[in-house]
Amino acid sequence: MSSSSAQAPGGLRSAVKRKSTAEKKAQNSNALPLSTRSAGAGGSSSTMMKLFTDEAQGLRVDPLVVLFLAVGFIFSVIILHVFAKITGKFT
Amino acid sequence: MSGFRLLDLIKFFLPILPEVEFPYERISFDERIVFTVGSGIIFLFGQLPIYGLVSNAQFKIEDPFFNYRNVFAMEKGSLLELGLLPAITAAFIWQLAVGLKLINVNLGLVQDRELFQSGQKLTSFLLAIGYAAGLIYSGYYDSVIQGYDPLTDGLPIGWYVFIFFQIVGWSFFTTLLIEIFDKGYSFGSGILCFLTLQTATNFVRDLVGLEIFPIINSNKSESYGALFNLIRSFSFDLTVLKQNILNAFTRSQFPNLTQFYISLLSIFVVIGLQNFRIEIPIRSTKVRAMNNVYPIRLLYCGALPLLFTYTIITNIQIFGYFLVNILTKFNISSELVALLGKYQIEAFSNDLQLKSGVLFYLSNSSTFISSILSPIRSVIYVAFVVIISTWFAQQWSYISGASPKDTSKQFKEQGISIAGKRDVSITKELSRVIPVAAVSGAFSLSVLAVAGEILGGLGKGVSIIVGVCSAFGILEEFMIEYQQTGGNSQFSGAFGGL
Repeated sequence: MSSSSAQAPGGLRSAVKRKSTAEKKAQNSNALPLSTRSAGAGGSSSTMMKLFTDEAQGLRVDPLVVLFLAVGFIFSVIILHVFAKITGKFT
Repeated sequence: MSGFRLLDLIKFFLPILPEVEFPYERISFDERIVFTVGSGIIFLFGQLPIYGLVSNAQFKIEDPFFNYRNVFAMEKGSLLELGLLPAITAAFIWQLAVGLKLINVNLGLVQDRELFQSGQKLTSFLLAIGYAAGLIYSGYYDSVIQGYDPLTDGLPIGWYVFIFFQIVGWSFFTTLLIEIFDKGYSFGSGILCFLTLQTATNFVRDLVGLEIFPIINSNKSESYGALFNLIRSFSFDLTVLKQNILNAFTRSQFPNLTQFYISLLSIFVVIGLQNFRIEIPIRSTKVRAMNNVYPIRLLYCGALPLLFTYTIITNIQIFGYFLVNILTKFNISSELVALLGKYQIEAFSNDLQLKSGVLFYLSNSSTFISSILSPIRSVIYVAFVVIISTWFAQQWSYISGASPKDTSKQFKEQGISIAGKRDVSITKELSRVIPVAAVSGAFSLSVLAVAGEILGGLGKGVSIIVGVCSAFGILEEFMIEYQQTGGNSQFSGAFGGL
């Protein structure tokens, strides 16, 4: 036989079957990752729900700044309560 | 490559979305402990009452969500009014949408991952605004605003704005605190760590809370903690004692002992369930005679299926409540609104209980007797929780990055193979175990949760289940990290000898 139809040793015999397995393989390897973890970037695991595991664009803030702002927010509410109590006493 | 993607909408908001910086260098073990405890304490500060409400507003608010607020750390009349609900809802919406391929995102690309993450944050913010506006519009706070009489005065716009900014502001900060956790400054995931913390504090407070509050519609007062109230009102007169014990188990304005025992039982059962696992024998493909086991837990998805189910139920109830109120305000006939849901206030606890309508069938009963008296609702509710949980577990075991395929990929990278099996068939072997474990684990957890609810747990049982499961996960991460530091931690130096 000519060289064009020479069979590689091993593997499936018919071209149709070879094609379908190759397609299946390509589909498997090209499948989009279904979660950030399966994309290899951390994120929710099977038991842990995580939201923010990538560094995205945006207004960068230090974690300590967030903590201090949160405490500041709490204190502003406390001060409102205190003022309300004080003014309520005298009027 | 043209075409509109939902994800591209988020780009407009990128410049104004705050983003916690990634740590420049590895966060040490001690720093992580400090961050965990610090942000946890700040989170708990959110139990501060909202400014602008009358005192003891938490008992005067007519509360339609009394069944669910425990699961999401939603504290009535406090800054944590929305709790973690916006963040949890946003996370589930996005991660399921990607996992089930409902939206077009390629998480393999960094840009898409970043947009995906910002999308979750934006959704969480928008949901918080939506919930807060809905609550205020529905007149949830009307009965407790300082110096405001709904019958005579006009709309208290000023107070509404104040309340809105407090709730939404704290919800923003909660989301950012969660981000600090998730970025690796602390242990575990932010959501689950906060839920655990809140559940643990409430569990103790429910039992031995010392504060004394007046009982509504009466001139008596009782302690907050169920056990403490029993001790405080102890009497040698047998009839009084009997009455007090009965009251400790049945009181509805404050936590009662029934809820406590349901929680306690749930803790034991969950700890028991945690131990069930299948151990798959593995061997190294590189080193000979390196045998080990790879455990696959029964609770493969932890408590996430349960959390997901309650996220759905709570969202249905909240939006149902909004819809009922909006329809009523637009003078739609009350028969039509009653098809959706009809609320009736309960005099002993100021809870708004559903009496009929679609929403009624997706709600649980507050006592065992009422669940027997409305069997159809109980059956529908139980079926709903169990089915949604198992469905979610089935999906989640495939999309969470711990699917049989992902695990076998991991095995290959680490040079591990299942003993007595070929490399090719690892995926097949694992997929015989993992989905089954996930589904049966979710089934047993949801049955446990529902049993607690039917007996009158009011969401305490569910929150305890979620809390204990999360605590195990966090502890696992903590121990792994601790062993990797090799013991050169200041904390272990200080407390190790105890």
